[in-house]
Amino acid sequence: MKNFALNAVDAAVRQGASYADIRIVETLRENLSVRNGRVSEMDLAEDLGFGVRVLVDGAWGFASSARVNNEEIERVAGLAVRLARASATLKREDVRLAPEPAWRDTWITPCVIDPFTVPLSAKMALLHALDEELRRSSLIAAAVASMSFQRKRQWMATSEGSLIDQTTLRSGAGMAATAVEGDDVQVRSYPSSFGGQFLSAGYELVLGLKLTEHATRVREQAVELLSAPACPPGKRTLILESSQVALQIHESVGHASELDRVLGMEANFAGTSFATTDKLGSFQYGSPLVNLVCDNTIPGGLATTGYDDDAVRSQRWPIVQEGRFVGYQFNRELAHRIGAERSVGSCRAEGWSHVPIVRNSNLCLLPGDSSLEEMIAGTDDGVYMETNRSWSIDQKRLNFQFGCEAGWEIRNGKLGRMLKNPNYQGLTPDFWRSCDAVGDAHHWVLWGLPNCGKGQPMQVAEMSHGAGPARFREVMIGVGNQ
Amino acid sequence: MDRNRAEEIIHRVLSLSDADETEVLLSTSQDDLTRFSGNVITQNVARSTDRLTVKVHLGRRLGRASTDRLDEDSLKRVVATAKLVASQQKEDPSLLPLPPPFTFSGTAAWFPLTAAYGPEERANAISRLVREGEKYGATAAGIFNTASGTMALGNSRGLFGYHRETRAVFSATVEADGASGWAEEVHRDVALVNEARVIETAIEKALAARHPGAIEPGEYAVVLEPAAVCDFLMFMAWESFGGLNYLEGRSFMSGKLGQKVMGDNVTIVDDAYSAHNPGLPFDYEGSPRQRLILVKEGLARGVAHDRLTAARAGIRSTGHSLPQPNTVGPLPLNLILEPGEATLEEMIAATPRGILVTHFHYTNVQDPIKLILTGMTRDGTFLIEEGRVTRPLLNLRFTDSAVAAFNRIEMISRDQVTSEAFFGGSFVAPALKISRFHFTSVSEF
Repeated sequence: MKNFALNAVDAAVRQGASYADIRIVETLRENLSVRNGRVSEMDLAEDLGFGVRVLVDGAWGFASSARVNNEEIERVAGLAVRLARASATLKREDVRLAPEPAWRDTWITPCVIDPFTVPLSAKMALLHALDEELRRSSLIAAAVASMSFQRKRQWMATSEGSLIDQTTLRSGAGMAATAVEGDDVQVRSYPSSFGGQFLSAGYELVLGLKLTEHATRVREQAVELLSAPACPPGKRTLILESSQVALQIHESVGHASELDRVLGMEANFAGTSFATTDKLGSFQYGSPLVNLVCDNTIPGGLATTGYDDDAVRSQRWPIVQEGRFVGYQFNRELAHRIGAERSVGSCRAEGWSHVPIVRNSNLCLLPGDSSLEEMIAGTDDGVYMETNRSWSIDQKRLNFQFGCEAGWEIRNGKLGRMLKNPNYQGLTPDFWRSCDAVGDAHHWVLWGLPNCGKGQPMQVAEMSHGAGPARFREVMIGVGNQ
Repeated sequence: MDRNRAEEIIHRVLSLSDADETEVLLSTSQDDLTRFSGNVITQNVARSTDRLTVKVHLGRRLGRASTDRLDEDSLKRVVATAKLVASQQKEDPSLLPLPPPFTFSGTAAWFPLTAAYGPEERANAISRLVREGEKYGATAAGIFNTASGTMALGNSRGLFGYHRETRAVFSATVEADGASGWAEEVHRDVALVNEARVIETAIEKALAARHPGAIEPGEYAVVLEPAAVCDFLMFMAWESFGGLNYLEGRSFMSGKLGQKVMGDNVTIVDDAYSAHNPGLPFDYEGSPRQRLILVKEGLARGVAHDRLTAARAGIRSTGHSLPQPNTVGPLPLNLILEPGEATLEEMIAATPRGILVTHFHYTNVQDPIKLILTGMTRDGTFLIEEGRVTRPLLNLRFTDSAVAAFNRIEMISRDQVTSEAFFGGSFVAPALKISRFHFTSVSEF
């Protein structure tokens, strides 16, 4: 494959490219799920193809194909060059790539148990057992237990001399029970919603989740929610469990700090950002307790690789320091737009058929010094919310409204009754500035998010967000629950 | 891929399988897209993808595997993998045998001009937009996308179906003085894309949206342009009009067939044969897609079924299966909200005080059964006073039940627009005037 990659770069340069790279990607995926006693997914999918990206006359072109052979290389490279020439008819300045050393390296996700060696029958047996336990109530209308595994090997070569062979491995598992009574639908999930937990790891992730120990609670809480009162509306103290903090980070800091959005490149689809370049270094994004760091070297992170799809070595860098906005996520092309000498390595593509774009990295809220118990004890009147159920945020990442699966009333420092349909709404800087407690390292979890959509054509990317629980004051909750 | 080649590959795969039953799904696509922002082309891509999925039955055990490689070794490997997967499953007593051959009508969804459209032609259209916007100091972002695809389905009982389609999208967001305007056209035939209308509308909206003012959140009459209405249709399709959600009591339609669920003026159908939005004429099981009436003059009339949910409901499939098995059940992918008689201008003129919405951003579900949605307005939100658009507004968040809102529709436009749905498919909607719509908060731009 390395020779094939080098031939592709040569073909593109021969046809006029001033810069060229190729990514050949081979992916193996296993998606398994059991829903209401039936197997609803049991796919083993393989995928191989390549994408060629070129700069010609200072503009980009990209073409891809699943047919990995030498004739196709010539055709695809030529098509990429034709596309770049069409791009060059509408440009202001040549694309400039920030310098990066030429890397020749191999990188592999460490894992303990290769999930593809675990017998399918054993995985299915676990999923059937979970599904069965979740359905031990007539009020459960839908139960689902799922696992997914992905191994992706990518060979990348650039005309600047990089030649990188990296293999990433992702595992995930989770379950959910949906209870229905009359016109009420309630859901509980474990360990998180929308598929559970995902990490760059092997089958040890699934074993570590101890799914069978949680199935009964998941079912019981889904049923309990049916008879719980709705979360009442009003401005109160809000404590979020760590997976919801992770989603809050993703939506209100992660996307807001993607430099391509800031510069308007996503204006027609995902949107732009309120975090404009004039705010860099001075804007108070959150309270002094808020420290957010991108880390694409952290073990287990879904964006953890040796190199991004610009062939830039993975890094760790700050986005928010003691509440102050100090950094962006960007690629080689955009580095010069904020005076950066080097890319931070936030450029990734979904597989071989998509062009690399700026993507969220593993953006994490650094641990504070509070335990969840201390946060609750320090709250006179509030709500504790767990597990995302719904998310919505405006195109500049300011006005958001998120719903959770379950809430619990807090009165005089103690958790009280369960509340259904909890949600909260706010404006991003106001919300993060109201943060007065951040969970300590003991409560910190690196959550995987495997389904982030961005770009046109839309691409799905994976990344992680580490967080503990956090407390926010004077937040509007229970919107629409009058 | 032409029909003969697709048929040849499918027959070859079927000949390689000795499973009790075998199904082969072969899809191909060519997706070409030019993306622009800040008045320059920032991305220009051509994606060519294939996917071959083999499903086998070993008794009542099911296995599925897929590949994007179509050489002989890969065909053999994917069949063997599907059998291996099936061999490790539990028996499923509810597994249905594969269906026999069917007959279906084709849909006019393939246009050679669209399939052959080149990057130079897309760049020309974008250049015209940029030049026009520059006259007003505006900048443009968006896409010009042309795509073509084929789908072929065959099984060991002799079923074979082939469909091909094209799609063209010109979508533009124009920014002027920090305000934005948007317009989009989606057609099967690129010749129908009215580039001038997209350019003019996006620029006009951006200019009109400059210097927005605040308005208190609360209850307002709204005039929703078709793209905003499509968000509601999309979530109705996903949450409410599918047979699985219906049977599990998770839809507002559950137990309500024959009953009033929306206003008398609401009729919603799913129609893959519509000239507005032709779609796949058969589903992923091989059932012919039926024209399905979901809501007729406010009465709940039906939901989309695949063979499994249809059997549970004691009826025949409506031809709305996704690839089987799956977790979401059948879905309607070609919804049409029937038009009324008004023009958009008449709807505005009939509004003493209200809000005109161009489209929504990031709409999502808060309550699936009541279909309470929340989302933000974007790219042109305007105050209507005394029947006239008087000033632009800061973007607002709505939180309201789409079902309840469809009980408060006062006027429906005669013009309809096709929009692509985030979950797949594309929907056709008119503009709506709705009373007492709930806006719950406001943003800063």
